[in-house]
Amino acid sequence: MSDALRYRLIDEPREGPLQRLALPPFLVFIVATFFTPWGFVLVALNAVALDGPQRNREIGLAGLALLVYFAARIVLGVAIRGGLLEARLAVYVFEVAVGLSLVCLAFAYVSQYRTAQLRQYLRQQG
Amino acid sequence: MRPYNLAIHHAEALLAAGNWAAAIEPLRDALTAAPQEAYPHLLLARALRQQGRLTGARYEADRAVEHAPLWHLAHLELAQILLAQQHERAALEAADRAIELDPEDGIGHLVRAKILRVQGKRAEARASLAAARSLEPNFPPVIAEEGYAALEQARMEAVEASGREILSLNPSNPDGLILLGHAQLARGDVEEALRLALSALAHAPTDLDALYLLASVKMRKSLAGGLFWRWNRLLVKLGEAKAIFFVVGIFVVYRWALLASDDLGLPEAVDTLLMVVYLGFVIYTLSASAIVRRMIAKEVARVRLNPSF
Repeated sequence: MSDALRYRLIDEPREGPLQRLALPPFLVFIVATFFTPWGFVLVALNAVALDGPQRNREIGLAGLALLVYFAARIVLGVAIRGGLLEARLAVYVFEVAVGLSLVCLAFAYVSQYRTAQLRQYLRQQG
Repeated sequence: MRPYNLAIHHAEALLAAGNWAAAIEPLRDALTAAPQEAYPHLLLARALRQQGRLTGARYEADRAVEHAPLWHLAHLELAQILLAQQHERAALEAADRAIELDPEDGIGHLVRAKILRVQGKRAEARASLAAARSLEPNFPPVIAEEGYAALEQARMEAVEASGREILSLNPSNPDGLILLGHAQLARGDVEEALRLALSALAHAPTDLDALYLLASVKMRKSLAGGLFWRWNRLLVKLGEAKAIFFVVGIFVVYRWALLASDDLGLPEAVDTLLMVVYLGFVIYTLSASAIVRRMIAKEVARVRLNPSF
């Protein structure tokens, strides 16, 4: 029986044309943390290439990381201009926002890492 | 024989031998032939859970519950997966449902006791464990749970009694070795405790309780070694989500420290020192699991049980 007709396990990544473009998740995570915020986009692109069971969640997490980053910049900018916050103090608060963005990316990384591991395991089996 | 029956018999034989990975393919065959059957979904959930593939296991357990909502084993499997995913409240609901459907199954009470112990509800856990013990008096996992509950309360005589009882039933049971190891450690016999921890790890290399025993022994032998093991266990015990928050929290503290160093006009050497310490921490955290695995493999290869044991 062809593989396409066999029962598919939900956590197994699909075979697809973009698969060979997928990068090691750890490398992607490191790049994303060094090149904030646009490195976050790479996490979303890698999710598409890996096409794992949590693909949409990973894309959403990368999007959320971008949202937190830019929302923090806008809100803190407004707060500084309105005299609600000193510029130096805002830098400390902004680091918390960067931390929250990294939490989102770390969750996406864990899920991509599992997909990559499982794919490697299945290749070894097959 | 129908392909479904053949695949199920094959999978059952592999599962009985503890070959979880190999059982997955025949179960896939069984589900290709009969996707509406709850039984292969349940077996597949169990095999995937044992492989640490919790997302897949959860999906299969949900399907088993969907196809056989009145089958207590499906709810029980779901409870164990939810507990492994650290969703204790949902796990307790699933375990309660399993007990409601079959109150005479001791495993249901055992799983409930484990969940309650993780939640810190000791009195309720004790009652569930007593129920499990009355239904399954000689079942090693039930005795082990009694031993671990006693260990949490530092009742070392009870820990040793549980360990010995398990080993009298099965001399290579990891839980028995671990519990007896803790008892030996409390008595001050560090070498024997180390041997027991390593032989438990030889049977169950990723067992958290075995790692904890090893950490305790290493802590007793050397402060640096013990801290290494404890840090590793802390990250494992925190669970994925909390460990991520914890590690990123340390990153934020590091960034704050750099900013504060600038604000306070401290010399640049302080910034360099902070960076070196932080990089050391990152490298250590990333490589810790690989180092731990290698160290365990090395120590396990060396382990020889005391002939008098």
